[in-house]
Amino acid sequence: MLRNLKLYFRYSAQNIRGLMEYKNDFIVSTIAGGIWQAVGLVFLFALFHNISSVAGWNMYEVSLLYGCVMFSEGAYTLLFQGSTGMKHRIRTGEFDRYMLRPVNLTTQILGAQINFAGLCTLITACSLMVYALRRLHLETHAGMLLLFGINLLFGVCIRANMELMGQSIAFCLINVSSLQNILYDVQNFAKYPLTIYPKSVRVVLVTVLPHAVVSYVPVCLLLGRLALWPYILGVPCSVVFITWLRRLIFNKAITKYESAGN
Amino acid sequence: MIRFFRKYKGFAGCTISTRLNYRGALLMNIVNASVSLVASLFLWNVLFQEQSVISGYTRDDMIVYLMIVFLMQSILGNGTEWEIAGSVLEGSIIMDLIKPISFQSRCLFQTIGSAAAEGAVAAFVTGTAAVCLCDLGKYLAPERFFLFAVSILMAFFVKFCISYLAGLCCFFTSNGYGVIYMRQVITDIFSGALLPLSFYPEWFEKIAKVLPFQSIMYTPTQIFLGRTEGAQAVNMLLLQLVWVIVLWVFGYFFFRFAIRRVTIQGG
Repeated sequence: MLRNLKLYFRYSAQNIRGLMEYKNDFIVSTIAGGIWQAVGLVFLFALFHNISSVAGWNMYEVSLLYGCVMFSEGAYTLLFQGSTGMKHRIRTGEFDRYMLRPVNLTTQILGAQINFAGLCTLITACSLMVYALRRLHLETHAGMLLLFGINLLFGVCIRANMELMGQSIAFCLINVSSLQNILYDVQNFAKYPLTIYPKSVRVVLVTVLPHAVVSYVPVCLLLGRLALWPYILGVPCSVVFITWLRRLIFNKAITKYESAGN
Repeated sequence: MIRFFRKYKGFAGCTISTRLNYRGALLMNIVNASVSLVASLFLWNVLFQEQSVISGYTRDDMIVYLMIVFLMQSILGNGTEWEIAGSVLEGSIIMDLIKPISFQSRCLFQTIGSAAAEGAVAAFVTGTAAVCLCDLGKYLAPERFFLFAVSILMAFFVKFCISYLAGLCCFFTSNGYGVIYMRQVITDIFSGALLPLSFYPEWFEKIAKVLPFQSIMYTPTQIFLGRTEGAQAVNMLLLQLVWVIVLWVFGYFFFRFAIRRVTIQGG
């Protein structure tokens, strides 16, 4: 575990050096990441310009949901963008090299690329959450906020697992970009209170695609709409479950890998 | 004119056959776009349970609005820009420059081809969904539908011209992402694809109505929903036409300026 972590940082440092080579690209993609989030924010503010609440949630409470989703997306993009390029490496047969190295495959895949578009997203997410928390005047103690912060990290972990799950399918189907986009777009469901969806959708959002654990569950806890003990029991279970599921799918899928030549 | 069409219609036909060849991808694109649509349908559904009218829109109005936006988004993806960016970055644009054809018209006909293929699928999906989800009948008056069809066509040309200009910017940046994302964000916000323009604060709405982007989504939806009728609707169509001409001419000159900057990588 420690070795993998160390290797991951080595990979990332290498990637940063690679990115610095093309300075313009680097700046443009960083800015593009921030601009991309503008759409979501404009939607949020313009919508609440006309209505007062969504299913009993006011603008600042919904902003927290947005913030959590954006945080996980930003951190994921910044640190683990490598998995997005995996389909390309599988198609060209470049994945052979990964298989031959005596290093954990997941570490190699996650560390293959970093993307500074995520940095702007992260900053936007944090400012949005701080803004919303100040306006909400919550009377929670520091422990809750700490738990909320830890949950943000769980969120990144869950997102990374989900993305890897989607990417695993690239071993079986060569063209996966649409499928990957579909999985990405499911995050839009996590931007609103879970109560607006029918039961079947809610079940999916807390189990197989646990986007709700990234945003809805921690925000509920922070707002005092969820007791502490179901949270403490539920969230680690969910993280372990999705990690287990990802490993299962990934290990199954990798046996299907066929090199595309040399 | 006929010679012009004969010359370029091959590009459209070619793109249609390519798209139909990758039927799986075509369908997946629609499914992909539907995910966000379903999420927003749930959201609006709840909002309209709490109040019957939001900013002048009823539940049925909003569903029809979302469907039209969905249809337009599928017809007018960002394929044009990626195509141009790709040919500039790879250097394959040289093949276009040595042929006796106009780059602008070639891009237009290719876009028409992909729009026809994707539009057909999207029209079927949105049509079915709209019939199931709301009382579509009350919006369907023949003369209004005619104006709507014309405005969709104009919207297509406006969107193409904007995409073309954004694509040409890749001559200067030698990177597709930044320019194309920025174009997409601006169009989404100012055209009304995100929300109807009347949802924005008044000053923002005023800015949006001066810009060409409103011709892409706002005009067709307003005509279909019957919010602008008669002379006012015709005026909006004329405004679309003006934007098409202005942007096309601008694109023509911008290409002549930009082409001097192009660096072909490799040979």
